[in-house]
Amino acid sequence: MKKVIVADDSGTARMFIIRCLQIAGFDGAQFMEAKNGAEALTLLEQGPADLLVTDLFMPEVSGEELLLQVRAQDKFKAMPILVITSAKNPAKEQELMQGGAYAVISKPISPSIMVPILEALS
Amino acid sequence: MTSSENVTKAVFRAMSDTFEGMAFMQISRLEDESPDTTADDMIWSRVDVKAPAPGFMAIAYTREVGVRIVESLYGMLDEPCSQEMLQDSLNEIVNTVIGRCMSLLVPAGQTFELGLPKTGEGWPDFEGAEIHGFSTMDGGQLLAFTDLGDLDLLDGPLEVEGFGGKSSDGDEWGDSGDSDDAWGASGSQDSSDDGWG
Repeated sequence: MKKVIVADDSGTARMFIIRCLQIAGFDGAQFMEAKNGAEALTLLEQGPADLLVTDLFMPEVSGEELLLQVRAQDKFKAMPILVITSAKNPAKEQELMQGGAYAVISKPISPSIMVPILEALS
Repeated sequence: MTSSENVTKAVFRAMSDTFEGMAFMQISRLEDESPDTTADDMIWSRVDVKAPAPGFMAIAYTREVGVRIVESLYGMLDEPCSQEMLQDSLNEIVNTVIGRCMSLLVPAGQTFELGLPKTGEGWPDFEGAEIHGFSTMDGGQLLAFTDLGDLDLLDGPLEVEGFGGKSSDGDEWGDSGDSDDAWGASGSQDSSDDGWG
């Protein structure tokens, strides 16, 4: 069973992301929810996930900080990180990709946007 | 402050994309009708723009409209719509709308930074903000408050198809851009077609 961590401070956004991932092919996955980057890091202490999905603007530890902290650890080197944000533009996308994001996706997301990304992962 | 035409167009496009993409709701601008500012059961959420220049956007609607939006977002609810769900969904909506809006107004090579949503109840008194009125298909009103005057950084006019007129298929709804085909190859936005239940 695939393990997916979804980090977003909005419960609505987490629900929306999980539904999208389920429809897009991760319907049998185990989803673990985090309200910020700090909670996601705590979940990652149990070991890498098959996929980490994170929002950008979150309290305590932001998505950008989470990305940098995770990428700084060798054990998470192979773990794909999707950044889902309302603040995507080409400059930000380039910055996040250079920081180690696998993909940067604009909100609102949809299953059809997620399908090719998840297919490329598997 | 009066928004530039680009800001008004960007707000329209961002509102349309977000409500259609998240809640399968089509909205239209209130062009000949003034928004109802007398409702006393409003909830609102505001997100500040921190960079490249200060500004903000807030969205407000009544609880009744909010419940309908939550039902569209979540599908069938097992329990009554809570205040937390109302506020959290509104936070996510305004966060998405301002992000899309800024993506349209800020040149591609420049980043922007947003704050976290702040919420409140009652009539939102944002002095100096411009009010943009929208209506859902069932008549619910949505109000967007903006002060983004200095954030229109584009050199030229923003092209927003369907803005201020009829769309190509003759209906009165504005074009909602890339969200039109975002729900799969069928092109349908009916939630049941895509398994959203």
